[in-house]
Amino acid sequence: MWKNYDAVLSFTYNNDKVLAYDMAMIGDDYYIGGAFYDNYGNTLPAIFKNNNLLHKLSDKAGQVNAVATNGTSIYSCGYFTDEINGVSMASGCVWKDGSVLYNLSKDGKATNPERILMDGNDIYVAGITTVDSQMNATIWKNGEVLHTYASEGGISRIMTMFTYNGDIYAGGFYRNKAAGNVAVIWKNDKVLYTLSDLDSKDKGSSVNAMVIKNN
Amino acid sequence: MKKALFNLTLLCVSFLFLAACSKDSKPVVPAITVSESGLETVLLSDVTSGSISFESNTVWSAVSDQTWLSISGNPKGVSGKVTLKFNLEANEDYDDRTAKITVTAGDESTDGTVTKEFTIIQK
Repeated sequence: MWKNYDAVLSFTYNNDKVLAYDMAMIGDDYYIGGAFYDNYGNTLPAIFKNNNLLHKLSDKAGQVNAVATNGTSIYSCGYFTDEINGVSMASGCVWKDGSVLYNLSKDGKATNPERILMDGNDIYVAGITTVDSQMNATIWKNGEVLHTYASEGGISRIMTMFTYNGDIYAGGFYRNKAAGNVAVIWKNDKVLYTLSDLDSKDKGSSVNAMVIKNN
Repeated sequence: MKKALFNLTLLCVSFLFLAACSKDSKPVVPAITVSESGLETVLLSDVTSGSISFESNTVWSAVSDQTWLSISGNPKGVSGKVTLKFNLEANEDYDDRTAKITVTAGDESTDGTVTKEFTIIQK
């Protein structure tokens, strides 16, 4: 981890590298979400506090994708690989501190939440639900599916999201069979802006970050 | 009389021993157990590792049909539950691509071989 161009935190665990995907701070403490390698080469989802393992979130392979805090607790989302109905699949989770808060694969679908957002007492996570080879961008609110964005091209993905005045905005892409990945911003359950030229041959665009400005 | 009884006992034991030997030497009929939906794995374009799971009752080997997907570690094993890991390159295109991992159970010591094809789709 770097602060003002200087490396301030570098650590390993179990004599191997740590995978760091997101971080949050409470006071002067860094909370890092990611994974570490077990003795069998599996990545196990974990939260590190500063340079120490704070929570091992599963004994099964997976990772923490995103971390948020309300100032007192650490909320994180990610997945572990579980056997559901006899099938090994990504089982999405929201964890509060070291415990499962929401299981997002409770209906037997493979899920992988990649972003997390706290709005008051509500916890929003965005990620992917996989059904029949289709990967659909999904937003969950407090563990329940809020919106799903299907795509004719077989995949849609949310890269960033925020809430404003009771609405939820999500940026990412959906795949169009002709135009490739199409950059898009969704507002609640509808497409608000399509930012790619659908006739362009320059395939591949995505919304990766958004800011909101109050005038 | 005792000798006859001894010979009879010896005959029975020999028969049982032969029967047991005969049973032991029968070659294994290979089998790979995997759930039907476990035959397909769908991954994001930027995912660079994954795994498949199956159970084999005998020796097995695995091979990929694409250069962008390689089996990590030893692509062979013995009977039991298996989690086979693989590495793959990120998909830079905006079309799905597909690789097949073929797992074969059995060898020259078994009663034939059996194969299962695992499909890996990268978005």
